[in-house]
This record gives sequence, structure tokens and C-alpha cells, in this order.
Amino acid sequence: MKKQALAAILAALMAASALSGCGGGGESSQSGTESSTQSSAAASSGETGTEEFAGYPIETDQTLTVWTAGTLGPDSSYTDYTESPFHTGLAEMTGINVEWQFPSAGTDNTQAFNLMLVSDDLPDIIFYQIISNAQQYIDDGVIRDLTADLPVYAPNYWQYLQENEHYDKSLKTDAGQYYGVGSFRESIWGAVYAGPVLRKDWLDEQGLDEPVTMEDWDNIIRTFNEAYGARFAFVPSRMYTGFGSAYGAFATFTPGFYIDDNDQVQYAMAQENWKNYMQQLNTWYEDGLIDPDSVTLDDDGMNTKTLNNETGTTVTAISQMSAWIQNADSAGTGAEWIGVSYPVAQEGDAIVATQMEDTVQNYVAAVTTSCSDENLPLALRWLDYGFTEEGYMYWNYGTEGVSYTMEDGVPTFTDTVLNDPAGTRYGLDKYIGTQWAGISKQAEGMVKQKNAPESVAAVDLWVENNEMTEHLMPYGVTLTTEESTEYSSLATSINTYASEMALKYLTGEESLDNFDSFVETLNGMGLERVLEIQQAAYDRFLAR
Amino acid sequence: MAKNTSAKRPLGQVLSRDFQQNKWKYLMILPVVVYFILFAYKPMYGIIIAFKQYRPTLGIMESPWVGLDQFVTFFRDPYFWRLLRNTFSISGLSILFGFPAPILLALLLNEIRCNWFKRTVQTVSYMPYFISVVVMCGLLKAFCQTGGVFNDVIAAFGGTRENLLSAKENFYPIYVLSGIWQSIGWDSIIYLAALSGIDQQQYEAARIDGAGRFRQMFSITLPGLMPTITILFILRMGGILNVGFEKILLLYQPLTYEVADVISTYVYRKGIIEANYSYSTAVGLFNSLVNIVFLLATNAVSRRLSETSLF
Repeated sequence: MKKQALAAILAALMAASALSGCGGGGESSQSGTESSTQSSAAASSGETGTEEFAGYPIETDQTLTVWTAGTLGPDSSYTDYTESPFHTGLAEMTGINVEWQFPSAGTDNTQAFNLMLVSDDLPDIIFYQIISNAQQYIDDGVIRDLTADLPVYAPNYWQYLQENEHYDKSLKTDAGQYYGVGSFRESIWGAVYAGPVLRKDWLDEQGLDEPVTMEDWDNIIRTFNEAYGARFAFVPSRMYTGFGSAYGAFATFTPGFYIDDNDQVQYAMAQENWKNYMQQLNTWYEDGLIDPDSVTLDDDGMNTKTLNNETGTTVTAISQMSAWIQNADSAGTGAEWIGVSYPVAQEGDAIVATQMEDTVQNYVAAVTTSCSDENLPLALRWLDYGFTEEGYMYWNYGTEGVSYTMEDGVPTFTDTVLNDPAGTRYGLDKYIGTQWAGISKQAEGMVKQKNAPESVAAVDLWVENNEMTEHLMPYGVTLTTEESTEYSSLATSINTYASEMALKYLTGEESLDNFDSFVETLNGMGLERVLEIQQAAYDRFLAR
Repeated sequence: MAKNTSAKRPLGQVLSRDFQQNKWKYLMILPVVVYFILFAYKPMYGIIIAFKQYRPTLGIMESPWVGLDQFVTFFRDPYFWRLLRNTFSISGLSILFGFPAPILLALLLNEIRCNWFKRTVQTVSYMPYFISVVVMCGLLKAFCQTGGVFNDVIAAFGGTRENLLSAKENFYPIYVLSGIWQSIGWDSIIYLAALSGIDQQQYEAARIDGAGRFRQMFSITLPGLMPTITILFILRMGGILNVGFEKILLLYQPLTYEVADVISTYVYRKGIIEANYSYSTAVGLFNSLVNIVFLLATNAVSRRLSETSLF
């Protein structure tokens, strides 16, 4: 009797949410029927499930299948996951046996993912970059709507979502359906990994201070050029927003969107601010202060430039900077690379534009429709583990006494991990799951220990007084199928034109005096429509 | 059909008799037939996604039909004409300069009488073929930088140093010449093989008649090579829209898009934004159609002029 009542209430709730959420008539009825079958399942096992749950490890002989690509793969020194300490440890800690499925080496992840989707035999859980396609997968009957089940079987995760509005919005669809368990960063530390860097040894030699404004940068670049013949050099894709922070410009050479102060989606390169920023870069270029090789540089080429003392200032990611420091050490060039703050217009201003990723990663673990109702509670328990206190420690630090020890209450990686013969990164791959994207919260303390001290110092500077979160287009913003078809038919030509012109403005091949006609051409290519689409999607996101 | 059956015996009877007589031959060809059915003809039905809006979750059959929308999108793209022009330019130049190069090399090698020298040149010239495109392009990029080898040479002759790959007028020469450098030796092998098939008695007879080296080359060697050259040329024209996609992708950057952005690289960038399989298939189909038109045209011209043709 009690059971039936609960089922009825849940079914009613589900129907209500389906009706209120979904505008498209055909789709709402489909998802409605689907969720009602699920909710009865949830209700029937719900009673037993919640009350009987006695913590991890769970005693079960059921096995879950998990498909993922691009993250969580066993370290290459093992033949497969059955030898990997992280994967076997996870099974031990949760008590749940997982059969991991990874695409075979050398295949394209997205292609493998799409092939997996059309196969008849879906795994129970898929963990992939589905954040912007979730609604479609629910509508197509590939993944389950978990709205009713998450509070019951994944209470820790559910609570985590309730405590953070941004996370909550990102992990449900526009229709309000919760579709999976996300992969989070604890803070923007770790989401910011690139910014301006320069050679501290040269700076000291010239008696200069760390730069704050663009005048300071101008002075440094000119001084380095006179004293060492060095020029500002960069890898175009690693410029991110570059010095845009001093102008309120949200791009350098890579096109992109940002949210302005009035919650409007904007195209970074169609702005007056970006023009002003380009003007400065062009001046440097004309004055011979920017290395003309930069437009064709890749990471290797840049590496060589730093080794040959051809450059002392650039914008790059910490991974690159660390490599340069190591190279300088082994070659004995004496180069000391450090990260410095993003420049601002006036000393004391907040930094508005930086490289930043969303604290919600685009990886989401979803339960597929192939997962039986019987297995669903188990799958959710397994996914919830990373959000329990114990699970958080395991996903981020591995096993105490093996991969980490507690020192003064702080989990600290052991030498086994930090001094792995192949490198710290590989050591981490063996024992922890959050290095890239994990089904948990990525701990700030883990990321800090993973990086070299210079990198940590650099990121500390970059995240300080950083207001980029307010301007970042959230990863959870979702286009409808029709929108995304229209968007993709317009966006490539717009981005092609914009990135082409950006470099031409740099080299002076095109004059910035004609900036207005550049914006007009962009609009002629459909930029206004593209912004309309993005705005509508962003508004729906805000309304979630 | 009516005419076929008016043959003396019904077709079925002919076939079954033929099968009786040659059953082992039929058995031997069976794997080949199966291979082509499974791997060349069966996947062909996938082409229909060019006329659909393919969604991986729905599969090929269930995805909704959109007619010619994908083609219209492609033809209406602001960059369509530029992409087409660049593709033809790069491909055309590669054929114009890249196609005769190995023939010349083969002819030159053929005239060398010193065997060890000939072998050495051959080996050295086809070595670059085995260098991966990624490595080759990495080298090229480094050589083209202001401090690179090419600029050292330019500077030695009094020129000014510049990044060669960032100037659009340099893109075609760099692309075509590096292509020749990489494939000249390898491509010449087939011509050398054809050369060894030419009857030596013809040369003897020519020498007796007083023909010099050049006379022999023009009157014996080249005519002897002509069928091979023609067939290879027809095949090459059949791939006119297939340009070295990876190489362009590795060498171009936004400053040279104007001359270097080709259909395949553009579609690749579009694919990165959204895995749009239908669109790529439509473009692929368009490419194949253009290719086949060129193949048939070249074939027809060649049949008229030289009586050598594929079919």
C-alpha cells in the first residue's frame, strides 16, 4: 500500500516536471512515459535501497560496465585496468566490480563514442563529454533521466548540487531533467592554467619591477629587445586572452564568446576593446618587437626559441613554462621563467579576462537505458562514491600509506607518486582518478602538488582578483538540435574569417582603420544570428 | 535484355556450364568478390546520410531526411568558391610539376651506365618517401623560420630574412617542391620498371641506324613509357580534388588561409565544432563526383588521342 502511494506520487511529480519543462509536444510525451516507468522502478527498490544502505564497500556480485575515453585510462605501463592500482582499488573500496571499456589505442575518441552509441549493447554507464548533448540523448532514449533517482541513491552528490547553483544548473537540461553525475573542480584554481610569463633573471638584471600595466609591458619588451635582442614570441593557440585583460578584450587570436556585464553573449573579436588590444600588438609588430615566426610557431618551435634566448616574454600555459624551466636547467642557460599577473588598465583593477575553463568539466557520467532497473541503484551508488568524504580522498589522493600520507592534516603524495620514474603525471595516473576528469571533485590540494612550485606561484597570481567566472560561457549551455545545425552552418566561416583577420591585423596586412567593415562582414556572414542562438541558449541556462 | 536472351543458349545455361568447367577458378575468386561486397559495396548505403541529418543515437536508417540541405549549405558557404579555387590550384600545380618530375628522373637514371651510382641515386631519392608527414612538416616549418636554413641561404645571397611560411605567395612553391622532393624517387620506380620492359633490340637497331642518345630517348624510350604515363595520369586526374590534407593542415595557419584553405581542411575545422557526419559525407560525395568527372574526361580524351585508356 505504502509502496503504491509512493509510486503514484513520484509518477505524478515526474509527469508534472515533464509537462512544465518540455515545450516540444512530441518529445515531452516520450520522455514522460519513459520516466514514469523509471519512477516506479525507483519507488519499488527505493524503499529497500535507502534503508538498507550500510555504506561502502557494498556487498554485491553484480558487475557494472563503464565506458569512457580520454580520461581514467590505466597507465600505459599496465596491460589493462585489472593491473592498475586505481581501478582495482576503486573496486575494493566500493565493493562494486566494474568492467571498464576504453576505445582501443589510436582510435579517435569521439568516433569511438558515436560507434558505441549505435551498438545494440550499451554499457551501464558512459563517462564522456556529453554536457551539451544530454537533452538529445535523453530524447533519443540513450541515457536515463535521473531526476527521481539521484536524491535517493546518490545523496552526497545530490547535496553537493544543491549547495552550488552553478553546478546544479550545469547538470540538468533546459527541461529540468538531471542527466548525470558531473566532474567538478573545487575552485578556479586548476581551471586557470595560462597567463603572461617572463624571464625573471633578465628583469632583475635590468632593474625592472614585475609589470602591472601595459606601459610596464611595453617598457619591458623594449628593454629586453635592446639588451638581449629578444622579442615577444608566442604560439598563437597558446595566447588565449593574452593581454586582453588590460583592454577588456576576451580573445587574442582564437575566436570565442563571452558574457558581458549585462548578461549578453558577445563575440570577443567584434568588440572595440579587442580592436584596441590588436592596435597595441600591431604597434609592437611594426616596431620589430614581436617575433614574425610566431604566426607559424608550435610548442616545439617555441621551446627552441626560449632555449636560444630569442624571447623573454610571452603568454603560455604552465605545462610549457615548466618544460622551459627544465630545459634551461639542463642546458644551463640561467633562464628563470616566472608567471606574472595579467596586465590591467589601472593598478588595482580587477582582472576581467583570462584563460579559464568552467569549474564544471564537459565530462559527465550518465546511466544508459541499457542499465537495468535492478542495477540502477548500484550504478548510482558507485557514481556517488566520489562525493562521499572517503571517496573524495580516494579519487584525489588514492590509498593512504601507499600514494599519500597525512602530514599535519594535509594529504601529501608519497615519493612513489611524485618521483615516478616516468614523471609525476604518470605516477598520478596509476593511483588517482581526478588528474584529468574524474567522477568526483578535483581537489585544489591535488592540483597544487602535481605542479612545479613555479607553476603554483604563477597560478596563484592569475587567480587573484580574477573576475573571469562572470564572463565565462558555461559549458552546460545547450543548443537544441535545430539550433546547433544552424549554428554549425554559420560558425565555421565566421571563425575562419575572424582568425584570418586577427593575424592580418597583427602583421599590418590589414589596417585596423577598417575595423568597422570587418564587423560588418562578420554580421553579413550571420554573426547576429549566431549570437541570437547563443543568447537564447544562455538565457535558458540561466532560467534552469 | 531481349537481345541478350536472343543468344543461342539461355544465359543461365552458359553460366552453369562455365561454372562446371572452371569451378576452382570460381572458388579462387570468391574471397575477392566477398571482400568487395562487404567492404566496398555494403558500406555504400551509408552515403544516404548525405541526404539526412545524421544523429548517432538514431543510426543511419532512423535519422530524418533533409534532402539536399547539406549540399546547399556547402554551396552557399561564403568560402565555397575560395575553397574550390584553392583545392584546384594546389592539386593542379602538384600535377603540373609533380607528375613529370619522376618521369624525368627515371629517364635520367636510365641513361646512367655506372650501376653503383645509379643505385645510390635511386636509394637516396626515395628515402624521403618514408619520412612521416608530421616530421617532414616539422622540418619544413623550422627551415622556413627567420633563423632557419632556407633563410640562411637567402641571407647569404643578400636577401632579407622573413618567415617564409607566413607569406601566402610562398605557400604553393613550398607545398609543391616539398611534395616533389618527397615522392620523386618513389614514383619513379614504376617508370623504371616499365623501362626495363622495353626491348633492348630496339636500341641496338637504332644505334646501327645511327641514332644518338636523344634520338633513342624520344623515339624508343618515351613511346615505350607512354602507356604507363597515360594510365598513371588518368588515375591522377581521378583524384584531382584529393589534396594532401594532413600536409596542408600542418603547414597552413590563418595568415595563409586565403591560398591554402582547401575543402578538406575546412570540413575538418567544421567537424571539430560539431561532429557533423552528414555534412562531411555530402562534401565527400561532391568530391567523388568531381573526381569521377575528371577521370572519365581524361580517359575519353586519352582514348581518342593515344588509344591507351583505363576502359
